[in-house]
Amino acid sequence: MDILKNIQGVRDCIERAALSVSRDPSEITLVGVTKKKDAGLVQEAADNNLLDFGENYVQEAREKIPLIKGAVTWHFIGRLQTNKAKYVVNLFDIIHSVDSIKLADELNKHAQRSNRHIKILLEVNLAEEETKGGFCAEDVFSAIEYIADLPYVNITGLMTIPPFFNDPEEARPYFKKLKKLRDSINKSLKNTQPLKHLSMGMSGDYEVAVQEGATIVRVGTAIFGQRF
Amino acid sequence: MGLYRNIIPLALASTSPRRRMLLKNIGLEISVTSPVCDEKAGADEPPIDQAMRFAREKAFSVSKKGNITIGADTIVVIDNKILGKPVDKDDAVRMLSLLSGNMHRVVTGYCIINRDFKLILNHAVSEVIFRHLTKDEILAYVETGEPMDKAGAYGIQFLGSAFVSMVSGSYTNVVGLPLCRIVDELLQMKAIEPNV
Repeated sequence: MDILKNIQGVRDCIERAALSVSRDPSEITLVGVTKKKDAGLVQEAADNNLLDFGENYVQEAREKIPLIKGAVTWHFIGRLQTNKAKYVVNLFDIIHSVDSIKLADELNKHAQRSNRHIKILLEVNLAEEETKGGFCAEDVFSAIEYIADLPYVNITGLMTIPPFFNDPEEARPYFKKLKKLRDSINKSLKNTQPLKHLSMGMSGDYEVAVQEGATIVRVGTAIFGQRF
Repeated sequence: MGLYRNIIPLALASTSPRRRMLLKNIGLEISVTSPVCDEKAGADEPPIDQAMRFAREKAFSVSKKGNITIGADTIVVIDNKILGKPVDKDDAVRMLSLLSGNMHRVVTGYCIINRDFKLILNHAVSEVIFRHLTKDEILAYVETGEPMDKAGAYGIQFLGSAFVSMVSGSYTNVVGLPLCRIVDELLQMKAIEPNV
């Protein structure tokens, strides 16, 4: 497996997808999803100029993150239980999967104890799937107003995982919806910082997500393969 | 005179001369670009998913405004395992021994990116049955060099045709591009028209 080639291939696709809708490709951050990938493979990617990684499990991240050298940004993208908040504030730079006020409170509390400011994204469950976490679209507004008052967490955007489809075109409406939601939040909540990020798109549909405005894509299989 | 002609410029995201010939043969003008991910290592994912993802990434990575871009990825699947291109002669012998006397599937994932940068993503499956091959036949075939750059270590359009007892599904899909599907899609999006 040639990681460098895989990374380059994904970057090419992101670039073309961005240019296709007249976006600047440098607005988009490629996050390599490294769950169940060993530290050696992650280091190889980091040595090849992929500097953003996403982990799904706290325990795995606690073991892996200290082993990786370089100016790496760590993204937590898995489902997060409130009792694990104390670990993630010290390990990660940005939490994509904040799905309740309670979790945001916990993150704020532990970030304060560590004297750290932590970036978060709010996960939105657009299809209201029971198996997935996330706020319903209409609950996001009040959540943001509340979280904006927490001094140690900074909301920088929204994240979503659409229902699974084989055809990326079927995911497109969900990406459109998330962008629309962000734009209307930025319009209506004038007292909070505008939200910049849209974390959406994975190996099966990241080009479409980029066309619809993604600023962060989370790609695992297309870079690292499915499992080893 | 070709059977069809272009209305919109077509780009093929592939290095395969076989795919290019299939499209040229029916009269189409095709520009060819080889994508970085053309030789991407396979991930251990379901074969059809992989073929479609590779097709999509190939197409996207070379897509350009004003063009319609076609990407395709063909794999040979036997017992739910993917046979890629053989790494050496021994590997080719191993693959051909697996195929001998058996049915396998050829899957081509294809992706067409239209001028609005919407994509059509699908796949075609053909079933191919090889007759039983003797050891000498396999060795002689490997020595011709034909298997070395082909998924599953054979080419149906040339010498490998001597081994194929039956094809069920699209023949051109086994060559590398399900032409009937591609032409149908291109006609529907008014990218090509009959050359009347």
